Amino acid sequence: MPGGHAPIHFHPWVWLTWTGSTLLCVSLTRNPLYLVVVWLCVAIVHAAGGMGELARGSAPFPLWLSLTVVPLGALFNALTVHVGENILFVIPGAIPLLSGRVTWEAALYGATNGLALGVILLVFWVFNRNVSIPSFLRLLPRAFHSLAVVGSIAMTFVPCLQQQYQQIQEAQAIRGKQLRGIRDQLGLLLPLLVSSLEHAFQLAEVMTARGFLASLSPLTRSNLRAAFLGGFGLVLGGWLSRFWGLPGWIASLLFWCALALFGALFFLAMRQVRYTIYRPRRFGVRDGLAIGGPSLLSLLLVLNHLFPERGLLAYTPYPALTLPPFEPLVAFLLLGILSPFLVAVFAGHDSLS
Amino acid sequence: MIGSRGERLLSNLVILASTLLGCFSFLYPFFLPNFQQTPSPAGIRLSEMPLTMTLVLGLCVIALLFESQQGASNARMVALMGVLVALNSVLRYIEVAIPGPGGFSPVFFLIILSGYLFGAKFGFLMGAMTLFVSAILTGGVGPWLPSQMFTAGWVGMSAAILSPLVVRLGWQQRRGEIVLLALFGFGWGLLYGAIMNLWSWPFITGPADQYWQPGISFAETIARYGVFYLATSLAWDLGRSLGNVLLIGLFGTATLRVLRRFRERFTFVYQPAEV
Repeated sequence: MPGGHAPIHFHPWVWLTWTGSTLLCVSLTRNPLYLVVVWLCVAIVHAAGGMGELARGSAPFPLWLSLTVVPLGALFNALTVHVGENILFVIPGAIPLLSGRVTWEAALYGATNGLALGVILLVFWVFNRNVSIPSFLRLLPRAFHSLAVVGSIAMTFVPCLQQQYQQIQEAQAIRGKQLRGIRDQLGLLLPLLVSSLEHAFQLAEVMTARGFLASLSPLTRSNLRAAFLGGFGLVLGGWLSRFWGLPGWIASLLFWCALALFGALFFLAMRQVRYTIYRPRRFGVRDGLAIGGPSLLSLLLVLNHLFPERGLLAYTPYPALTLPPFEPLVAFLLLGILSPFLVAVFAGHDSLS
Repeated sequence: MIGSRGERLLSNLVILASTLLGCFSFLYPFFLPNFQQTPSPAGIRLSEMPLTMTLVLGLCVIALLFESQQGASNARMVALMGVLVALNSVLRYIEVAIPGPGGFSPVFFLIILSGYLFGAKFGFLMGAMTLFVSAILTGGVGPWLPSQMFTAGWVGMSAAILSPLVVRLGWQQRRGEIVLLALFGFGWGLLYGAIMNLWSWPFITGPADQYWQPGISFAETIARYGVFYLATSLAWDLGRSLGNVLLIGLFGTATLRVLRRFRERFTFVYQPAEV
């Protein structure tokens, strides 16, 4: 692509939404035709190259690797599940697991599960590639800021640990200590543990001196706890409604109400936590466009979940193989997964040239 | 305004509710036959149960993380946990790079000892955060992560139960303490595998006597899972269990001594005398 435009780095929220939306698709359908559409979309986004922060530095993940699970799944399922009406061949004798009829249905079901697994692997690879570790930690809700600090300390302390380990090893070598058995490792591990804990103590002093405060106000804590209990009550109500044979939409509604309750209260709790970002990452128009497709797709999938009578995505090859249903409109909506790629194309992303 | 007793009660209720709901999320294949036998006008979409359960499990993890982070509510505990999580993450990184025999994993050693010494909330966070941070370090973020965080958190959380038991038996800083911790590690080595299998078991299909199928009875589900576990996981999980016993047996006493010393320093609070 001509022009030499600057590479696009989408906001981490774009990748989070994209990942969640794609996983939702994969979780909700075992229709192989729709799964193929999803895999193609994810493969295109993957092949388009980095559109995130880690973009240029990471090693490529071969697409074929995500597909290796398809024949493996088909083979495994066909050889071990002897269910279905269309028989390919029969394995004679009494070999445990294997003997019995090998059916087309089992092979297709195995291949479909393999494809779903392949998509999941690919999706997480794309996510890991496009979101850096600091951005990933920043995605944690502010209500969990003390956990984010724990994560940050752990991440930054890992290289220090390596240095300390080497220093202790050298010191032990100078003293002529040889590490032969597993018990000798204690001479390395204990000094490492002690020096790490000393480091933690110094770090805590620094944090206290700078006014670090990890806890929320008592009122917020109580409200959140009450909301958790309310949310759990709604979830339990949803399950019981299914148990009592009430219509499926009641349970779905209760589950989604619980989710909304958790989300709303977390939002309120997060607003109470003040923080400073030294290098703020702006959410631009391109990010908005790129997040649009996956968001719309998620919304429609949730609506489909609320009204299960339609069963748009449902398919099972058992007991007898039938052609999977394929609605062009559903396939078109699945193309929402492509939106980061499409935005990058229209913006003249460098790595696509 | 709720008093401190009320707050503690609410806190314990949240922990209890999220733990029970989390258990149910893992064990839903054992309850599904009941759902299946109940007629419903819309029908029960079994294919969507795993997704629902993953969502519910995610909510439980969030609730437990929120509640447990009160166990790291001051700078010293945050720093202590950060450093211990870093140590444990490095151990997991080594385990990923150089896999041990079977399911051997060194990460449970510190999780168990931390939960035992610093309490249930700290133990839960130690387990969950170790799995979270090490997943980021090793590029292992995936749909399995909430289940791993939850189960590893349980390991740390349940280790706190041993503390009053050891005090009651008078085994503090004696050989019995290490024996008890080693037995606990052995048990969790097997249980961790058995719980984690449940994450994927309902999706897998195979020989009828080992796999879950819609409509089978509760007893049949347990029997099939038992056969499945014996056939596919027991040998693997024994590696983890024996590894836990070995690590606690070899390094437990010395590590506990160090952690106890630092616990006193980390929990030291200066209160000026009232005038």
